[in-house]
Amino acid sequence: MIAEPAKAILRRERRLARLGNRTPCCPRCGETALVCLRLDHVTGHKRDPNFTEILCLNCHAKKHDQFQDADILMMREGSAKSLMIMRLRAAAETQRKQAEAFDHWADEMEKWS
Amino acid sequence: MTKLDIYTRVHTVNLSDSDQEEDVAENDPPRLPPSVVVLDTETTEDLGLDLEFGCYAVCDWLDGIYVPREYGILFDKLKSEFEQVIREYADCHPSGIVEPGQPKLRVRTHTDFIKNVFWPVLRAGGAAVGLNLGFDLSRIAIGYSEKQDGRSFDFFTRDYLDKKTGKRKLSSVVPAITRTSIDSKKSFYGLHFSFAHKADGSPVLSKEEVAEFRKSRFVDVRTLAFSLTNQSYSLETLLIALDAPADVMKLKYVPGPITEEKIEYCFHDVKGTLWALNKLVAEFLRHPIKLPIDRAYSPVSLAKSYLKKMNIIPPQEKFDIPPEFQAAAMEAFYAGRAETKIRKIEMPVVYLDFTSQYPSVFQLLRGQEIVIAESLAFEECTAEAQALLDGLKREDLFERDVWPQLRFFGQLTPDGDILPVRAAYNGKTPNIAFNHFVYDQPIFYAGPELADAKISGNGKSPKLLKAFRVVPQGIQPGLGPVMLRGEVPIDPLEGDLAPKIVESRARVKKSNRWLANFLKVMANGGMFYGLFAQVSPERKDQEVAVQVFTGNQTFVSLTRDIEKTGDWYCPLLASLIVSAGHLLLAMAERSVRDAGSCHVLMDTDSLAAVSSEHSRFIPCPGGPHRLPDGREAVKALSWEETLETVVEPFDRLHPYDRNRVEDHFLKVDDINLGPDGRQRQLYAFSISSKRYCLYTYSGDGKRKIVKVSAHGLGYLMPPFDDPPEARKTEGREEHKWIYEAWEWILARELDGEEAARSYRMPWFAYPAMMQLTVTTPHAIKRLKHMPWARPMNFMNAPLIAHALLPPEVAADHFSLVGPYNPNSAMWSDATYFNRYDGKPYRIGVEPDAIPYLSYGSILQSYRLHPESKFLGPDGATCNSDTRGVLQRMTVDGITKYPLRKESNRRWAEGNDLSLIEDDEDDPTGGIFKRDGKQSYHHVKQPLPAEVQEWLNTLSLKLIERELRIDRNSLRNGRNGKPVARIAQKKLLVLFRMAKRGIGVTEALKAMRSASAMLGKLQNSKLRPRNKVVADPTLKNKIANCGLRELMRETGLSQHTIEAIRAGKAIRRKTLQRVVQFLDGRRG
Repeated sequence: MIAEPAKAILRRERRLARLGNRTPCCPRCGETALVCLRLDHVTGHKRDPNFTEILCLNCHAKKHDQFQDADILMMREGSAKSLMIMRLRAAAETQRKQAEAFDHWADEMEKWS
Repeated sequence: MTKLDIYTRVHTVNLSDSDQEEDVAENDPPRLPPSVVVLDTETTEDLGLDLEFGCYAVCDWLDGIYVPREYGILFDKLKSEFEQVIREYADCHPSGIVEPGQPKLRVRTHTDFIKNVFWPVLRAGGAAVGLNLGFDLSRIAIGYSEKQDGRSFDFFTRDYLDKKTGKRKLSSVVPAITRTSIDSKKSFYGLHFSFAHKADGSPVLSKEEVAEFRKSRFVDVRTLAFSLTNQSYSLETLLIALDAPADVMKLKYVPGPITEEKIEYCFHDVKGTLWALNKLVAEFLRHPIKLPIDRAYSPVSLAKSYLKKMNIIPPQEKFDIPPEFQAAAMEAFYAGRAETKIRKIEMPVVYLDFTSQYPSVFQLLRGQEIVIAESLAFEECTAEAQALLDGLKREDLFERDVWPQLRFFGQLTPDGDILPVRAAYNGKTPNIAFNHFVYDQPIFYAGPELADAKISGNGKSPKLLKAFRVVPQGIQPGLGPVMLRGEVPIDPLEGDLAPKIVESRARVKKSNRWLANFLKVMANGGMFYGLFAQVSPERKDQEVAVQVFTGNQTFVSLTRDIEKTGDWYCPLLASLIVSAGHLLLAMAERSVRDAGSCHVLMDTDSLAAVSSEHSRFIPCPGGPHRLPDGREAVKALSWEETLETVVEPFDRLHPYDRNRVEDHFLKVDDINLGPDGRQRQLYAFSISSKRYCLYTYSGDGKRKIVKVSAHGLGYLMPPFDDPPEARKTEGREEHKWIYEAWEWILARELDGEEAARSYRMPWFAYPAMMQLTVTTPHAIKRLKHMPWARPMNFMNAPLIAHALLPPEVAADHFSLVGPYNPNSAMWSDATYFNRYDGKPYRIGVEPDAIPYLSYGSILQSYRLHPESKFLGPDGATCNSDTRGVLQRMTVDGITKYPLRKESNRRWAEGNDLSLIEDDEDDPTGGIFKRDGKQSYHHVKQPLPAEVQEWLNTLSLKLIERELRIDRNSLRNGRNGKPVARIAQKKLLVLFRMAKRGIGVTEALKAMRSASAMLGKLQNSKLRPRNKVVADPTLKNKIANCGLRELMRETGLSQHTIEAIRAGKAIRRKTLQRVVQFLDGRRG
């Protein structure tokens, strides 16, 4: 039961404002439940605070785990060159995982009659 | 000849605003708020109207409607027994919401509601919704303050306990809600932040919190309904109009203390409001425009959005029209024509009206060419305009090609021409009438008005001093099509908008009520006239300098009350359109006259021509015909004759496809047809402008009123109930009491006093009552800050018979108000309070009671209302008993005064407190006073940054030479220093042309020729006919008089007297003063 619907509405609108999208959706798994979605910094907040995407909490956790596997650490780089290198690697890793997700969805779709 | 001061409208420019200052374009909010809180409140029944309780619904936008998430009741400071009633009601009544699980109604205190419902919804970008929202907001407010603009209040919703003082203070953790009253149908809502700081210096509200509060929105369902339908509704009439199901219809009001029934009534209102909101939102979303729902204030709002969607740039932004031309057009602006020609004589008539008059004249004048033009040029055309008028015959005006030639403005010194004249005919307020006009100063009129003067008079052409015409140039690039209401495609580049809209309406009139109504609203209420004439009075916090332009002079006025113009303000178009409407009526009048008959009345786009089934003569004082017994008479044309000689000729002007719009251009209104569809005999009885009625006679000789005017009566409260359903069933446009009032008036006037007795209704004896609403700080002042005088309070106000007040009562400080009560049976017994001192009084005929004006006495005055704009049949002043064909008077204009926007809110509102006495704080209808020494053209301001940058790329020498701006000013302009407005204007025009891709050289050439044109118009060498040269004898006499003596006795300046002595041309009236002095000396 929602005890205070008006406050729930305000919380919802604040979330939507933070996400910057009135119909947010996780691009990896398709999750649409607002409470699960977050704004993720694709290459890391310190590397580029403006480059963001919406991810659900699960995919966000998986992504950071994958970054660690790929040795992309969320640390401030010492030089501009290394900053750019890590940005590109982080973005590439993200898109690799996205590509995997798209492949997976395509496979599922092929099974439809 | 009647000597009167005359009044003309003016064009104003606020000298304090920078020309470059543009409203910061706010990011438009989403069209619809994601959530709403629908609110309705119930109050005590005393003068204070304090909040008793309220009901609300919190709703979310889901799948195309607002779905309730919570229903609740709020209350504040109730006696425990009433609180108990509320809680018991909530316990016993399920909310009806299953998901997300609100089984019961919530009960909240006022503070709880404000903190946990109201502001969270608003901060989330939601809207507070109500019907007459201002009233409900004022009830949930805990305090208010009056704003300096004289039209706004701030409402405060939260307070806190100050621990130091132990007193409750207004809290700044939420903003105040600002409500600005515009008129009875719309108000603007906003927020006012105090930006207070805590003890440590940090702001009470962070920037993010302020940004969140700024998302708050306010939707008044009444305003929304008006914007979509151009009609004003109560909740009851709105639900009927929207065909609400029976379970949503409004319940009967439950007076008295809080009971279950009263709570049920309030809840029903909330549910009804929510239902109406959803229905109106569905209609609103059909319009493919970006307009947010809370910015839909009127049909004009929708019209502007559609024009914007077509990418039509508003005139103020697109065209650089010199203020002198705007002023000429404003001077020529006169509102719709309404007059009585035959007074107080029953006349058989055919009621005719023009099909969609304003869109039609917009089409005839090819107004669209101006709206979509890339730019406008102004050409001097004195000779051509004079030639046109000289050669103009009535028949020529039935040719469509002639009408675009009337797109000019001519200046003249009227010499008996029949023209609209705005003067205080009744000695009090300026009013417009078409009379013979004599005036020795130049004054502008629009081309159609001058054509009207030619055909209405004796064929004499008005003599023009000068004239200019508006020449649209090119077509603005980027225009595109739009789908009106998602159903009717219109494209400004392919065909004309007016015919498209009117023809589409004719096509869907019977099959698609909503679309037909919307198209009617666009055609008549918004797109082709209203938005070009929009001027809004605004009160500034302090006096500002305003440059006032009349047709032939300019001066500075220091005032707090300015006239704010919208982007679509275009007096050139507005004046041409409304004057073309006058011309159509004049042509109809002339047609009727040429056929040997007369008209009874005119009202904006309609005319009642004297006509009966068979032609005959009707006795009428002042009529042009004679009966065999010698009595004067008016000829009634037969219906056939009316059709042939009056109606059908106008079809040559018909702007629409006759296959689609089958009606004649000047059509026989449906009101002439009986229930069987056949024409019936109508009769008209007219007292004065807009005070008339149309009726028929049944077989047994009984009169049945079919059309009635509430003008002059609508400000009074109905003395009895007339359910809207009954009105709808019986096909009545007005409340039944208006019909009964007119039945008595007709009986009294036509059958005599004795016969009229049977038409006297019981309510004639009731005290005449007005409902007053406190909508502005002016009104609060009028109530002398009585404790119960709060914003949005409404009350009853009986009209007092001041002449019968006892001598000990100061009549000029006596005005009664009492608790609001629509039940007329209780009016006589209520206690009222003098708003000047708060003392209680009873009204009545007893010795200790205050005498009142009854409805009967009001109607008595009403029927005796003279028509002060015209003369009686005998040429004498029209008085209360004058009957017959009225004559035009000859107005000899004395002094021309610059008038503000003339219609103040009184007759439109009908219920502002200022209605019952003059409101010196209401600037509308007043004049601009000359003041200050600042000159418009020399006020200095810096150029905008982008213009400065651009100027840096140009050769100063070229600009200096071509635009005649000195090099220093140009250097100052480049460097961001202030530059005189006259130079600014020129540079801005050049900059805008450059921005549109026009080369500098070409642009300078164009400006040169335009400037020469303006100069030619301004420096006309024609000597006005009112200037004379003193003859040699008079010159000698003046030369022999002492200069000082002459100056002292005549009041003329040394300069003027020396000019006379030198043989220069002097105004006739000035010379007359000298002659009078010399004659007096001789005597």
